[in-house]
Amino acid sequence: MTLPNKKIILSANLILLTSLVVANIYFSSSFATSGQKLKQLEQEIDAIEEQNQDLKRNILQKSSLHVLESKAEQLGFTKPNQYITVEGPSTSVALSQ
Amino acid sequence: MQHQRTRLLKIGFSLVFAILLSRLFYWQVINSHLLQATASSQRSSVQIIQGERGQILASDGYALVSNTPSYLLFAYTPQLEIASAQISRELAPILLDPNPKSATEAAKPLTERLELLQSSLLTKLTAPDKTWIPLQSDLDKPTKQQIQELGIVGLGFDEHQKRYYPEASMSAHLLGFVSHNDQGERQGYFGLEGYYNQDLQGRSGQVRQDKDAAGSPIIIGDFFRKPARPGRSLKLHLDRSLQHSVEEHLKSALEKYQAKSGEVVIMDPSTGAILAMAAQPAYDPQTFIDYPTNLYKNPIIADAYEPGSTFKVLVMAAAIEEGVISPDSICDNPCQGPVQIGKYSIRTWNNQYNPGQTMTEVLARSDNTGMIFVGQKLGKPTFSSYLDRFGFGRSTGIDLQEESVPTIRTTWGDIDLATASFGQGIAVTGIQMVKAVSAIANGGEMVEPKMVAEIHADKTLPITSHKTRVISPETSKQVTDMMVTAAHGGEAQWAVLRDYTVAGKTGTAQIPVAGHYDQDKTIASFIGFAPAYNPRFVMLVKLREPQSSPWAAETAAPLWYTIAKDALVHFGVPPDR
Repeated sequence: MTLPNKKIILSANLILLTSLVVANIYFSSSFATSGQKLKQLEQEIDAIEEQNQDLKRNILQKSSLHVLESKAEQLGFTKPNQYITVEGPSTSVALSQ
Repeated sequence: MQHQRTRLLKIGFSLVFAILLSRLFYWQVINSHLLQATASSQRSSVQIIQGERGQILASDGYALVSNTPSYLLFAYTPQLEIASAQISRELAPILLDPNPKSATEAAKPLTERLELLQSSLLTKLTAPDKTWIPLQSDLDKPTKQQIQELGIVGLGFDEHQKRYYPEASMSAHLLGFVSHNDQGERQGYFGLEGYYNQDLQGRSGQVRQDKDAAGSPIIIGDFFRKPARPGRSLKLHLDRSLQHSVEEHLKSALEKYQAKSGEVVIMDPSTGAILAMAAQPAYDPQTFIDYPTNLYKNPIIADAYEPGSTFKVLVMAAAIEEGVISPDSICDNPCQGPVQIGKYSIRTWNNQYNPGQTMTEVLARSDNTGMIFVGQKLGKPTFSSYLDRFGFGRSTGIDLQEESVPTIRTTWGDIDLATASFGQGIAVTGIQMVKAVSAIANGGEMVEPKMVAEIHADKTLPITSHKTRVISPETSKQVTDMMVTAAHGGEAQWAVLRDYTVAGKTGTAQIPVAGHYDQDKTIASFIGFAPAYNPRFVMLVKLREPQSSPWAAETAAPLWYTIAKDALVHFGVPPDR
């Protein structure tokens, strides 16, 4: 092998090595940031799921019969003690007018 | 000489090289897995994801049982930065229960209870040879947040899911509760939680991934995910509004009639759907541990009782089906006075006798001598076979865990047949009675009672009820007529609904105590269905030891009609009278 050829091969190897080192540093740092981003996203998902669960429990709590009954009482509603059954044509009065 | 030294040096280097090489070979080839495991344990993180337990939903989709997070507060001593005394001082006011359940605790002044809690926390925190110390379990989210706001380094929380009951103690007896088994695993006990434990419990999942020193995931590292499988949810036939109304009426009735306990069950006779089921006294499944264990079982399916006169409708149905009597058959001689069987003399409940009465009148008057006449017409083998046909001595097939099956005698004496024909000396459960009477209400077909309508998994799995024909539609119609006469002309007629036709029968059974019947203790019950000729429900009401009156006509019957009125309006059933 002649001397210029040796130089070319050595330079090419050096360039390749440097590129690999740079690529390694670049990808490592970018993956490290992605890891952090992923962690953040996971935390956000957990927080949203937790909020969702809290809201569902809130709805259940507020629509329980005990709560509805006490609210109805506060608003002055009372239980009916008499029922009237109305018999008549199947069409409503409003429609027949 | 110099040549020899060089050779020695070469040998020395070769030896060292060989040793290094063999050592490397040992670590990298022979024992490589150990190094890999050590490295992996340093960067690999394993997170167990709990499979959420399935919900239990009422027929309107409202969750009667759901899940909520619960936290265990712990201290990791190597990370604690402040003194244990200060930590216990800061934690005690947050962890102090403002309403202690024990009376002795509640009697103590607040400052004393605070000091006791503080010293208990300090004892835990200064326990020797412990690094991970559990301080308090079952904390809710606001308490957890309060503790986090203190910013004490070294304190942490373990999250668990626990059951949450938005309607508090409603339907406790049919829901059951969740606790831990011998292996420390969560398990459902009693009611639906016990019966459907396999369906309700989820399967835990796992996420295993490589993490860096900051705890962030390494994107190009190992990753393994086994997803958690949530438990299946149950959708019940139970009507939440009706259940609420039944529980409120039952509580009031227990006070009004000063009864020891009471039970109500309402079932759709055409499908077997249990629309409401309540028993008092009850317990709160959230704090089941604070209640006596005898309250855990659902008495409607677990407690045997003598049905008394409510059983007469089934004996009449069997006798009409066999053609040995008709509703107009006359009971002449046997009904003219007390009936003597061996050494026993059997009387009517009011000691009044009506010779020449029809079978319809026998049922309306709840005449024991008339029923002995019917029982004797049936005969022991046929009577026994009808007990089996109506499902006595067998499980009803209801999907609740603690159902008991009272045994039915196999050998029958004359006195056994006589007393069983009016519902004495025979043990049944409330749900067995409802199932048997559903045959009369449903044109002769008996349906299996079911709590669950659907199981919600990947797809919806409907639960079906088996039907068995027990009597003919004609017999069913004739017995319904007789029950209508009994309800509208019997001793409970004062309580009957004005606008609806009801088929029903009262039952006042004395309670057997130590081989004899206690005269003062009764089980008052009423079983029936409405509207009689197109029934929307069959209902059993049972009160144990009512003090205001021992008679069902004055206790169980009015409660039955009060609930029936609400139920008929709730279901939008138009009056039929």
